[in-house]
Amino acid sequence: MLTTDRSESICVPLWLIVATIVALVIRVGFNVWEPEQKPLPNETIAWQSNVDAAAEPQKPILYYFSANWSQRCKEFEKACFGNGPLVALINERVIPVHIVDNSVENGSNSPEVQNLENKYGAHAFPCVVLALPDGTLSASATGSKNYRDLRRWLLDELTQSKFVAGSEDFARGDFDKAIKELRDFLDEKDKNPIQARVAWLRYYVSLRCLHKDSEAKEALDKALSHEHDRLQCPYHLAETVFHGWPYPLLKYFNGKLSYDQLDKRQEYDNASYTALIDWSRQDYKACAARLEQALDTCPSKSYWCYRAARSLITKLPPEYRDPLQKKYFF
Amino acid sequence: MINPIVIFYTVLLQIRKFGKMDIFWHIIMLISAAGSASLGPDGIYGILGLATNPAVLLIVAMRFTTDSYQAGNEYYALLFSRPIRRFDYVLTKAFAGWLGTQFFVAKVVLMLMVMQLLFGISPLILPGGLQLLSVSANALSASCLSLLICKLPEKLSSWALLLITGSYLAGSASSASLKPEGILANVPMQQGESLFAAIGTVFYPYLDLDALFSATTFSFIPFLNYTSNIFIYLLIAAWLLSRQEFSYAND
Amino acid sequence: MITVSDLSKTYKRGRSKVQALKQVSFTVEEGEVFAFIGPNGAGKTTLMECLLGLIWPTTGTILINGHSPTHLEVRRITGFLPERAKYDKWMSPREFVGYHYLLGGGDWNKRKVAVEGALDRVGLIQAARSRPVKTFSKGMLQKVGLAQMLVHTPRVCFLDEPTSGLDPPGRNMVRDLIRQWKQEKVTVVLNSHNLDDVERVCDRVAFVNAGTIDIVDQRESAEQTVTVMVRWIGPEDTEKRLKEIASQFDVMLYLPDREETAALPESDGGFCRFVLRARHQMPGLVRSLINAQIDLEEVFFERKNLSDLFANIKENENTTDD
Repeated sequence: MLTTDRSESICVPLWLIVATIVALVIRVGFNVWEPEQKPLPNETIAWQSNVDAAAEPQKPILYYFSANWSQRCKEFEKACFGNGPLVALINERVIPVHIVDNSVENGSNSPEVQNLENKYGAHAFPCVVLALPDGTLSASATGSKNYRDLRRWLLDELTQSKFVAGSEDFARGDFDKAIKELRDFLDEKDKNPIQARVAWLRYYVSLRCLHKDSEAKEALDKALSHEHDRLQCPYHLAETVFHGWPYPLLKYFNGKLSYDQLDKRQEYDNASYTALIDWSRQDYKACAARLEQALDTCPSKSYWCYRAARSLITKLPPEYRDPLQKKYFF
Repeated sequence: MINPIVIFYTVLLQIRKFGKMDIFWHIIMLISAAGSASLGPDGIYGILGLATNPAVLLIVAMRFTTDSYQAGNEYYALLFSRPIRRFDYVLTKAFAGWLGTQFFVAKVVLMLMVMQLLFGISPLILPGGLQLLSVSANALSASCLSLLICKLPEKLSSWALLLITGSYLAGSASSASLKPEGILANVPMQQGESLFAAIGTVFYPYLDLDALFSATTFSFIPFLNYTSNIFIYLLIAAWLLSRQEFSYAND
Repeated sequence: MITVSDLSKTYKRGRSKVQALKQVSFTVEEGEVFAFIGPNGAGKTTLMECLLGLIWPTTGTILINGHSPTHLEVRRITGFLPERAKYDKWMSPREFVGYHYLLGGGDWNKRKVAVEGALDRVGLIQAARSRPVKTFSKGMLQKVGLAQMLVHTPRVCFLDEPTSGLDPPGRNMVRDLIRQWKQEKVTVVLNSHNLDDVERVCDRVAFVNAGTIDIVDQRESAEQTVTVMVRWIGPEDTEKRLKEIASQFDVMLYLPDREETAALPESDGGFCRFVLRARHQMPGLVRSLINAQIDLEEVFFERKNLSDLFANIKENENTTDD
């Protein structure tokens, strides 16, 4: 019994019935038609497959880890990578790299993908990682977010990543320039604590290399007295000149990883973490051997650890440095 | 269409019903606002997000769209012996629920604002214009849906409420998909996530105007889903109420 | 004013069906006071609910002033007092009655006057008018219910157990109210177990039993015959004098048989029945009896009691409502 007679108290208005039917028809129609016409949101981001081939290598890298089976990733992509201002920010300020986990479909990932997941701790999807151009982890965020939260997070992290300015100079051995840029960074307020610690340590190493030992000691004290307790380094392990501060090394300095565990980790990363530790202990022979092994097994010369290892070679005493330079620098 | 008398007395009833439990919940909200403000932007945005969560809006709307806490057939028998159309009553309750839900969100925003001032946070973190408009739109949707749920038969309404609020709360709780390890493949969880997303999209679509207007490709679908759902809620609620028999002797 | 034709209502109880009303037909004239009585579970409240448009009949039609019960015009002239009204407990009587006044289309500016008038009419004390109704007794709640019904002067009133919970003054108030409505030509439909009230105020009574209206009792009117019971104490020739009076008034005289005499308590007199053609013959009869020097013990109208209707009627076991 349905009446549309308005003089009845139990009437259902005709306009409502008509409006509902019309709205439903239009809705179904658009749901069927519209997806065929519009492009997918994440076609708007200029995803890179090869980080090293990026036009501006000094830009930070934004790794986006996802899996095809993850509903959260689909929501995340729709919400975030379909947002105009956010897409513009990503294309302009970072090098976006999309890493797809295929371990469920194929049983395992390719070594490169697995290495990256292990390095940046991407065990849940979606995971967004902001890394410095040398691959050092700067910040990471896991879980589906709305575009506002992601944009805010990205802007916050990017404003604190001016630290990248000093890294290339440091890698080239141009310590005077590196000191200036690091000093500017260290004078800023509200720095990212991880980057601040790294900046102090690089500052320390640069000063050491320029033989400014008293200033270097001060810098080291600052590095060790940083308020971020999580990253307090034991004193004797702070003597490193490694190109960057990969996450496993930081964990080692934190006491979360032992030397042997670090040794095992570098099998994944083709890194020479233990070479660095050996160098800091002045065990140059072991260091040279590790470096040689790392450089022989590194899959690509453009790989960040290859460059890091080459940089460490320059710090060895001549009897160990020269043979390695002959072998790997030409 | 909308009966102002019913709105007036619905508001009066809410004021009169304000009791010890409400004071308790308002204190909890104040403490949460203080805690969020002290945590900084993440805390503030977090509690704003929680206050505008679709499930929370639905639960708040139910308070305003249901009648007297003991409303039963006898209450409605007396009410509908008056010369008011049942559909007008439905529309009025939807409007009252919309107003009440917005009032709830406004209270939360006000509390956060006060706490930010007390904690010396500047500039104040407040929802933007489009975000507030989204809250208003979603409050209307929540109000109409809660009205429909109230008019369903009792068992069905309990399950419907559980399913819809559960899907949104579960969706908020689980923001990431865990990578499966060996035999712990979470395929059922993935399918469950899809089901929750589908429930949300079809039965109770959430409108984020800010995102929709700043999307790279504008889509009419969310607006159409939202509008048609509102009409469907009102139509079904009105039809159910117009068909409902109020046999007070069995109460 | 109210016309019910072949009304039936069937409820589903699990897999079975229960027919609460079976082909009920009757009419209620404008200004009439009409009552439903019957045993529990007979279908009285179901009938009331159908008349109010709160439930839908399975078959049959109901017309109130030519419209269906759910018509807005009918709603505007209808007042309803449910048996167990539920109120918003935080409202005071003033607010509650005012709410219903406004819902009934009353003028906002005249609200206070109308509300106070209704509350005065039901006799609710001033001190209680601003208190929340959750503190009220059943009788006070009943008064509030009556007030909400009175506040917008209905033309058709449906009362379900109106005197339930009321003290004797309250019952008198309800009876007076109904009599006043009669004078104002307001149609009243009443559902009550209180047969005394029904007898006193109603024009017609429908006896509802097992979903049917078995008896529509035509109440006595001035044109109908009335039976007067006379008991006296006196000599044996009193019967002769009574016969003379009966022939003088040209009325029937019934003297008791042996069984009736044996059933009476012991006395020195006797009793008889005069069947008068109209009630107005009663004063003349009494004067004649006195002039005939008959020592009268008691003279009263003997009516068929409504409770007699319940005799030999078993409670309906199949229905769950009243």
